[in-house]
Amino acid sequence: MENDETLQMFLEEAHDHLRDIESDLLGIETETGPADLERVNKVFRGIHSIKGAAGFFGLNRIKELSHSMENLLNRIRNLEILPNRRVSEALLRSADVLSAMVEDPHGSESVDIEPSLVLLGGVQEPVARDTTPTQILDEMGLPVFILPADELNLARKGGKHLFVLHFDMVSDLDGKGKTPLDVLHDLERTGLIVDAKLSQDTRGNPVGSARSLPFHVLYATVLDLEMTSLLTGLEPPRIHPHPAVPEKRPVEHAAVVAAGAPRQAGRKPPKADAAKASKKAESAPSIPAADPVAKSADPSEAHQAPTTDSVRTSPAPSASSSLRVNVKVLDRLMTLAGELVLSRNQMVQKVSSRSLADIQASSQSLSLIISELQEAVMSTRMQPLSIVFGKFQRLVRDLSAEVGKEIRLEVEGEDVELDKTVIESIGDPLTHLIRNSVDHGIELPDIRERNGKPRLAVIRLHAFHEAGKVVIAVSDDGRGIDTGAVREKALAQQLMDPQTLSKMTEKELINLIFLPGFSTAKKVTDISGRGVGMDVVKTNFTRLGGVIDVESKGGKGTTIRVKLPLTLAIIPSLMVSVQDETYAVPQVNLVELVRIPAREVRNRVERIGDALVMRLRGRLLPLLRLSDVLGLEKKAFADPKTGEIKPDRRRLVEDRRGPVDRETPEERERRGNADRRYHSSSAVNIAVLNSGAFQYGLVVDRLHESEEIVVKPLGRHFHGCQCYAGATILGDGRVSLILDVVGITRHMDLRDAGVGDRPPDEEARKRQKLHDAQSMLLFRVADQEQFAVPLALVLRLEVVGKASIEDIGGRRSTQYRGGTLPLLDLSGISRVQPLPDQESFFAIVYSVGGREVGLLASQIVDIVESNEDFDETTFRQPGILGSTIFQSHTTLLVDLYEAARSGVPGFAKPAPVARGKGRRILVVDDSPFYRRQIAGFLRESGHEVHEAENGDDAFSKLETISGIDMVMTDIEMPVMDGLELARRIRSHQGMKNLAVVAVSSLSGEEAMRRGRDAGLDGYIVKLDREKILESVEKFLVHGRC
Amino acid sequence: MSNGEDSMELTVFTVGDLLCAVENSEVREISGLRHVTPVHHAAPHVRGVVNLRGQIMTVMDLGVRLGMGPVPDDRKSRILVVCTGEEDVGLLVDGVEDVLSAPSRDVETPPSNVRGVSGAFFRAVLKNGDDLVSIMDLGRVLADD
Repeated sequence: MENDETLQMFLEEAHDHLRDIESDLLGIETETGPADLERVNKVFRGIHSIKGAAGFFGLNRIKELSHSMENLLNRIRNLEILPNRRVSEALLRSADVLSAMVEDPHGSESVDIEPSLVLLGGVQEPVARDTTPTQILDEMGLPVFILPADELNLARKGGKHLFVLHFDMVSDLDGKGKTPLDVLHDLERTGLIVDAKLSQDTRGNPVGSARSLPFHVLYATVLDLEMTSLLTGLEPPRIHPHPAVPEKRPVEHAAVVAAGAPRQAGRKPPKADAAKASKKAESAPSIPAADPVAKSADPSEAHQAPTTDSVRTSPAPSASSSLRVNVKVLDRLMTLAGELVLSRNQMVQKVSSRSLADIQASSQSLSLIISELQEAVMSTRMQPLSIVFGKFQRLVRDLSAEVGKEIRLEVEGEDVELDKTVIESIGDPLTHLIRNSVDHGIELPDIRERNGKPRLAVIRLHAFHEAGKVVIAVSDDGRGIDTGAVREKALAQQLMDPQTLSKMTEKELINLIFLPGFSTAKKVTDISGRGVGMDVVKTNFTRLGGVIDVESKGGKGTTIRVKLPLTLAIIPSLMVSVQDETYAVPQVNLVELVRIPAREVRNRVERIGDALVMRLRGRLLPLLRLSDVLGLEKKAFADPKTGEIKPDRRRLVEDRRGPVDRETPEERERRGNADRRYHSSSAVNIAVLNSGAFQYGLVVDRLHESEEIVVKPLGRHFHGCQCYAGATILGDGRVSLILDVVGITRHMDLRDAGVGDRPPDEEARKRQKLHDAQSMLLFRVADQEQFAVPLALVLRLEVVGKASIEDIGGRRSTQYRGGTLPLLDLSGISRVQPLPDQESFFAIVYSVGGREVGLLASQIVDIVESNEDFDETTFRQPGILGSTIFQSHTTLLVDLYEAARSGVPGFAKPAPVARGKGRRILVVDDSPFYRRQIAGFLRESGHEVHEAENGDDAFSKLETISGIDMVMTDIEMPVMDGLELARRIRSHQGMKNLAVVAVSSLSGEEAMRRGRDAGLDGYIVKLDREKILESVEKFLVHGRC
Repeated sequence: MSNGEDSMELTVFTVGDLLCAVENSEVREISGLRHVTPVHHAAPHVRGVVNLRGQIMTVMDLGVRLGMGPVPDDRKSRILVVCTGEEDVGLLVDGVEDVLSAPSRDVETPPSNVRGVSGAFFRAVLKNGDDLVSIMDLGRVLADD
């Protein structure tokens, strides 16, 4: 028996009915005045249909509940009951229960429908009823149905006849190619099915053999026996009226009954339908006010055959893998398939003719047909948004009641179609948006009134086409998004820093709601709280290739716009490759392409902690190498000339200094003696991708063309691979994997370190670098210029009266503590403005070469903690090391050593180390400024200096460069700090006797102790040139202690 | 799941030095080795995917799966396309040897260990003259674990 298939069809139909019923009930509810009878009838018919078919399948609970609803609806359409809110609430609730039962038919028999029956009964006044159970007999005199008398009367109202019809599934249906549902539908057109059932055994299984399966219908119709007989194809005794009413010919009937041999041999007597007696909540109309049959057009209204409906899905769980397709679309596919065959035949012919022109023409026509075919096939997957929008009316109604608000939902554009996969995935995020509106957006009616707004708020759901995409806009006329609250929340959750926030535009602030961890609800309310934030909504839409945007006006309302692509099956993509593998990057996730020329790589690509970042127009973008993502060996790259895979000796993308000094002469020649850094192939190709929440850059070897690719799924063995969104077949027949831009971030655990989307902020960027904070003394010479010296190098500050300054041959000094203190005027050393004429000056006293010197200042400005980097180029001149900005003023860093040297007579540089005594020293500091200073000191003294920018870098240099005598290292560095470096060195067999000295701004007992524990030999303050040189002497010449 | 009452129709192939077989009813086609696109992060026995007439098919290296080392990329190796109900999967084998009809009485339960390979992968063994042919349990071989 095709029971399963038929059951399936019934479930689908029932589901469709129920969906319509819900919206019709909502419609009835919102209308004032007497019910729109047409709508009521529609609902009635739907329920009636469900009842009839349920009976056939033995789904008794469903039958009972529908029966009860049907009775209530009947009273409504008889104008005995006005459909007020209570009534529609009862019907809606019952429809919900019915829906649930239809979703799970097998479980429906155990569902307790008592509460629903009570509810339905509760909205009607009890009316005196005649519930005498009346038996309906079959032609053999055996009871087939049992019904309360008043129902029977009701059924016969309007002069209808009641017939008992006995069908046989096998001979009447199978044999004639009809299904039971067909029969039921036919009957419904011309009458009402009061009840219907299969002959069942006690377990509810259909009884019968392969040759006979009986099924009974109690039918009420205005047609007479003859017509009904014609309609059903049944002859007496398989059709007989009940009771033997006067207008019938009872005697004849009885004679027929008596004479008629039972056609169904071996048929078991049907069990009494005990359930019929339990209709407590039923009530029959006391006096029919009008004849519902005459009033409504229902008997003659045809029940639409499903297949001519426009495209709809069957949302019942078992049916979600099937689809309803418009017959027109199928016809088109057939036609195109036919044309395709013709075209192919032509092509085959032309190819053998070898005429290029002919082949080209054929190919063109083939191409056209294929395009059309593709479109037609894709259109079968297109579904209207009404599938998703349908449930929102109910949602808004229920939610607004819950929170005590008055809201109306306007829906426009339900016919707009989207790909099935997209439709299935947007339900949840859209629901969330609507809930948000109801919960947070719309104000309470009193508040609205006070603000001059209508009490009834409107949420508008509008879908339309725009520029090849589908736009869905959810807008409300509520209170809008409070940017102040957003700002507060962002600060409280530490999602943004105050400076960045203060620079954001209103639009940017509003878009902050998409940041993970954000929720402006003051308390988590039940309906839209619980941690599902707008970031999840955004990610949901981004996964579908959509974009989301928010607009809001305080006090006026909010509009959220989502733009979705029409289809997912074919997507434009950018092809990229690493080594010899090609991958596709979906265009929808692609923001831009960046190519960094070789010589700029050092500047634009940096390390922060463990991550690579790139500077892009003032902001920092996290970078991932595709080869890392895929786990490919970093060692190889494709030779630009030969395409050969060769080992890559560069360890870091950002490290462009190859071990040139170790190249063999042959290698150098092959390279053409050109600096490898400048070869165009050492440029870095980056695809900037949008993962929904943030952007990142993907480093690839080569960028190729953009192509439209067909997305195909990967098999089940790849379910755990997060990095791929599917696969496609390239022109050469090979498979290429499609990268999942979001999945990659999960796999690599890449989070937006807060350096991605924010507007440029130089201060924030610099703060990312881990520098030691140095105390700087700020002072002025001339009024307009500000200078700084490291406080650590300052011995004292003294005040010197103008009168006590002696000037001998341009050199100034003062008597001080029993000796002469040379005084330095910066304007005599550097091109800066001269000291003003003052009564007294400050002398910044420091020591060089064992002698004390005082640097004159007109005012001391401040002492600041700074971890700024210095710009070494702009203001570079003798006596000035570099410049930076402190407290909004350009500040020049004084080279105390140089100042002393040129300003103090007889001040000589320490002699450079004797030839041959120069050492090879490794200087490690993440700040280029300090590194260069220290390296400078050392080189001036005749030492050979190598540089490294962090501990890791230093360690690898120690491994590759031989003969390093000493390491001078900063402590605070990214990747590996100075202490860790010291430890590594001490535990390395070949290095453990290396002299390691820290040059740092950290000081104090604690710091020094830690340094000693890590294995440091010494600790020097930064920029103390003398000490640095001294330590070289100490540790190298005299050896480590 | 044998056909008929008397004999099994088997496709015999080699993996390493092991003679294996699957029932003909499970084999969709046999294809020569073609370019396999590697899928990084997949299980080690998954070689990658191939284009089988427009369909993306997973290719499993039976050598690796059975613990014997990868199947060599030479002219003898073949992809045995088997269908498992839901999707087709390609088994990469050293070579396809023969198709034979094996009387059911010659089929026995597999030992727990077949030349070093876990008996769990096989559901039966067959003596074919001097040779031992191990009949694969496709469900187990293709399982996701």
